[in-house]
Amino acid sequence: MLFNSWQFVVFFPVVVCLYFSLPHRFRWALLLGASYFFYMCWKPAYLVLILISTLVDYCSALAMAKTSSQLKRKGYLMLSLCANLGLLFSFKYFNFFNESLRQLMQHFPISYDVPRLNVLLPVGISFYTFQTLSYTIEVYRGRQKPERHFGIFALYVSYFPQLVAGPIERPGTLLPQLRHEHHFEYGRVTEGLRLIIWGLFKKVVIADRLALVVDNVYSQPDRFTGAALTTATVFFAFQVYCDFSGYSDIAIGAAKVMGHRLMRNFDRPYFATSIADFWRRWHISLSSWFRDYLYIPLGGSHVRVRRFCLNVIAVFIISGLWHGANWTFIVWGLLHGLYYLIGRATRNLRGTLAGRLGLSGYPRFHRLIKVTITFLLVCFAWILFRANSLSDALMIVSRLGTGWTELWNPSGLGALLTSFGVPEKEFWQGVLLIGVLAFVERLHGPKQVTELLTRLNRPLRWLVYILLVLMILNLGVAKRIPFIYFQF
Amino acid sequence: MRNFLKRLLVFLIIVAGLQLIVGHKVPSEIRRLDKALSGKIDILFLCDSTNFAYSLQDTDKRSGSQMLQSVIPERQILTLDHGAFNMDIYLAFCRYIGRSRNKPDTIIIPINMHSFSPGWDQRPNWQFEQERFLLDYPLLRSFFKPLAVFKAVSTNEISPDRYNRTKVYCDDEPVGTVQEFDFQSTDPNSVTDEQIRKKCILQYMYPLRPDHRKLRSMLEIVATLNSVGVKPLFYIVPLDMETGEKHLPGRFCRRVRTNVELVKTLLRNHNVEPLDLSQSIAAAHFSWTIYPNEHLDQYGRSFVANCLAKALRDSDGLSRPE
Repeated sequence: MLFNSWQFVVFFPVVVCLYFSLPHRFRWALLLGASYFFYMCWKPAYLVLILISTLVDYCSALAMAKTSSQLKRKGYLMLSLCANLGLLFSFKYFNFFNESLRQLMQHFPISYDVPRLNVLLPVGISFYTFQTLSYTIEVYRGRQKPERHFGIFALYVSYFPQLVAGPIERPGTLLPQLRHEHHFEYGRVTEGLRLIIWGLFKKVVIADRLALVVDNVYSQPDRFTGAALTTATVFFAFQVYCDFSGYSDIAIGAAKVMGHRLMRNFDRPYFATSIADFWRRWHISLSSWFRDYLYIPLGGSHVRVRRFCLNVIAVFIISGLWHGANWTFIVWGLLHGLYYLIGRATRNLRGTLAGRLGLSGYPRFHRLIKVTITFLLVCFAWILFRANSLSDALMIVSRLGTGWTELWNPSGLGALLTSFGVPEKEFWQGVLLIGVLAFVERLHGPKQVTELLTRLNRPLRWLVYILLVLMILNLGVAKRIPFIYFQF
Repeated sequence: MRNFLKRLLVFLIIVAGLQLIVGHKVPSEIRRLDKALSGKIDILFLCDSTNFAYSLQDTDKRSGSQMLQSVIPERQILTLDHGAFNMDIYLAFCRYIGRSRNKPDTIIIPINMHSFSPGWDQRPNWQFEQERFLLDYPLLRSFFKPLAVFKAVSTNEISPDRYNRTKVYCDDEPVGTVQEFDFQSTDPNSVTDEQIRKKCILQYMYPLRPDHRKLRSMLEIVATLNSVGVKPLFYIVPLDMETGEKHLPGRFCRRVRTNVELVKTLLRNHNVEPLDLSQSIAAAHFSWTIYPNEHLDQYGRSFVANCLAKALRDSDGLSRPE
């Protein structure tokens, strides 16, 4: 069930009405049933995977709490890690590694014929696996008491607003909220609805419109010039942002309506002034997961330089692999790791250079330069993220310099726009919407966009709501374009 | 909560009201039909591009229906034509007319044998989902886009991928997929005989089966119009048999005739005699320049118009005014 489907438009109000009508003691059952139904709309059989994860982690955590033996506790943690990561590996990575190994073995006189697993990737498996893993790790570390109510724990694993694409919640924040009784509060409910509307606007009006150009160019990149490929890549940068942050906004908004506060997942990432800053603003719930459960346990920055570099590269490569079983994602992660290390190594040098160039006297201009450079670096890396294969990505990079001079003659721009395969109007609407998004994000600053709306007086606020809804209904793209992060 | 629900209701009413205004965009064919049905029309002429396409050498560039109107000026004809119109959209028009108060006496419906081919029948942009929805659910016209955005109605019943993977047959033999046959060229000089042969295979060499969805639509048109007392006049559009036979000797005419016979038999089973013009026009009177199609020059359109006029006169005893 997609958030931008009529099924969700019916499902969500029904669930909310029932939720506030039922006594508190039955609400977990309603939400659990609704969450399982929500998930089963994709492929009912894959609910079994969630149930296995839920059962293993519920029992492991309780067993950990019962024993004082550190060895046994570690054993239960390993059981949880093996079960969850084993499922993730089997369904998401087995075929990738199998195929890579097969290609490697072709260079050696070794017969390798392990068959492919004929399975579909269960939607959201990476998200709920990481969420449930954070629970067992926290219980192991003694920071989280095991949840004894199986229903509440099952709901923590499968809570429908964030089940298939996050934000990846922590047990310390979500579990108590699921136990707590939430009453209908006008302000909170309307704030949740505002976020839902804004998220839908970003998804169906902006992201899906940009996708028309991006999909067309990236499906046959060899047919396009560097100018077209660059445009499509910049469009993709905003598509993936609006698509994913739109989903997160809807998820956070839907949970807020029911009284549950989910963590913020994006904080205007394209205003980042460095790659490190970008990762503090992009997919925050995943970045912080990797920080807390991988980077810091590896030693973080309190180790020797060589080890630190290895840690950073390892975390970024695993982060890339988390996104998808493809070499493109691994190289994308590696590239970001290198960006991060180079950025850190040159921090002082860049500061000195900025001082010598007199940029320190113009902080806004200096900031603009940093934001622009970071954006360009991120866009370059998006080529790897979006390309269908590593060879496609390399081909795109090799062509980036072509086709720019043609833009100087009047027919050149027209030819470029025609090559995108969408009406010119759609293209310019896409450009305009990117501008609108940047303007709105600049306006609301580090706060949520909904707070910007609350500052308006009621008639103006209603006018904005009505305009947004009418734009969703009339400028939304009807083509079925799934949320990008669903595939992860 | 009551306060919230009240405000939500007001909000939804305002949005729905505004949507009724901003969402009311109807294609020109449906607008013209609505306007015509508010008065009286005698004949409705539904057609694809074979009605209006012409040759650059034509001195008379009138469409076939305009020529027909000049042959029978005493009958008022409304033409609804659009490139790639087909039986599915004709069915939607007929159902819509069936529900309206005023109805034409006769509806002329072309049977273009090309339209049953995978290259037309399965082409994503030629499904007319929006037009069919607007005709089937006139009360929801303002809400088509919102329903499409939220996937309650489909705007891409056939995906480009499915289209490209559709099998192409030459008689009963599978010879590839649409992707291999549906190439385009803008330069007539660069077209090879092999490309023309492939186009002929894609467009006409399929083995037509009685359960083809467009044949089912055709028979549903007959049933719909019979039930509301409107006479259907089906005609099979002229095909460039000479070119086809030149590139697929001994096979093209046989295949087309077999397919045409099936169409005629199905209609006859429902007491409808179609006008078969499939082999009535020589290659010289087709106006295509790159790949073969059913577009006619002025002679061809005039010939079709006269044949239709005769069929109309025969069917209702009209005498041609001198």
